[in-house]
Amino acid sequence: MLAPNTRINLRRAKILVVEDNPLALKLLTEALNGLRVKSVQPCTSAAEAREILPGEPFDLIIIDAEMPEENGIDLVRHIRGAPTYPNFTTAVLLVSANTPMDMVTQARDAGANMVVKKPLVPGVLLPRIEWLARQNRQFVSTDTYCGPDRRFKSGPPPPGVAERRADALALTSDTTRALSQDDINSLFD
Amino acid sequence: VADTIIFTPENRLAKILLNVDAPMAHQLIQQADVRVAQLADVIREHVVNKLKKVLDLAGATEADLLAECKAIGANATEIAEVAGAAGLETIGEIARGVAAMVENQVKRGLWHGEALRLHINTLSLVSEGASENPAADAKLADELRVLRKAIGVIE
Repeated sequence: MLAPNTRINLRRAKILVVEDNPLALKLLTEALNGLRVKSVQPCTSAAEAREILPGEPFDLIIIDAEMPEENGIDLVRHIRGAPTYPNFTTAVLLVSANTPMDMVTQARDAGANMVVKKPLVPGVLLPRIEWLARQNRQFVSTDTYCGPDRRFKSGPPPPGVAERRADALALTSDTTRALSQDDINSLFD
Repeated sequence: VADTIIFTPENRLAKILLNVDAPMAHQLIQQADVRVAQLADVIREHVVNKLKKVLDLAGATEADLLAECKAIGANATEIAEVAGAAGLETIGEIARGVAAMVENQVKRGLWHGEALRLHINTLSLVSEGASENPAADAKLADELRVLRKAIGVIE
């Protein structure tokens, strides 16, 4: 939770906002400007954002989930599917008036960092931005998923499931044993 | 798995935390709230316009309501996206419920015309300030949420 006396300087933050509803875009832009963000790049469609994204690195991207042509979740997939673009790992905040579980799950699996319910008023927006700024989450890239590590809990595996690197851990815990090159390599797989 | 790459990227947003002489969060929120408040009249006018389009269909036949449900959903979504920022939280919440019902119709074929009509009529009552009691209006929004859950609307 954001403490009221936390000091935050958003002046140098560059934020891209993708929102098809002109009034919601205006509302969000005013809220960000009020939070002293100097550089807010507005886009009214995913297509417009796709043109901007390859050429300019942003510190945060805020995307409306519900847009008529290409929706926000597809745009997130596009961002996470372009490893050579400067916004490949940029924090993405997806916003929506309606947030059913399946939409939130889809957004997470597309690589969004967070989903927030509209309307985005300053008291809602700033704590989320601050939370994202403090995050040091790992980024995972596989054939089926690309985005911030979706695992928040750090605990033991469920009952009956072995630790993923149990063999490697057992190997390294034996301090009397010299490692072969294969053993060493297995620790870096 | 050979194709899995895990790394810790630079968090470019982290720079907002580095300035010890920066304004405090409560000051920023206060200033931003002032700017948002300046949009309140524009938001209310927008909500009234979009509400009119939804309320015009309150007396429509079941077939017309179904035929127009995507338009109803689009207008309701536009209301839900901004109404709360102008103090119209209950209208925004009921409109969000309308949008959820339409989304369930479009995606899952779940159609409850009478329940949708009840939402529209409630929007009319609340927007006209019939109850003159915000708590009673909020109670109506809660009851509608219970109704949607009972008929299987996923939201």
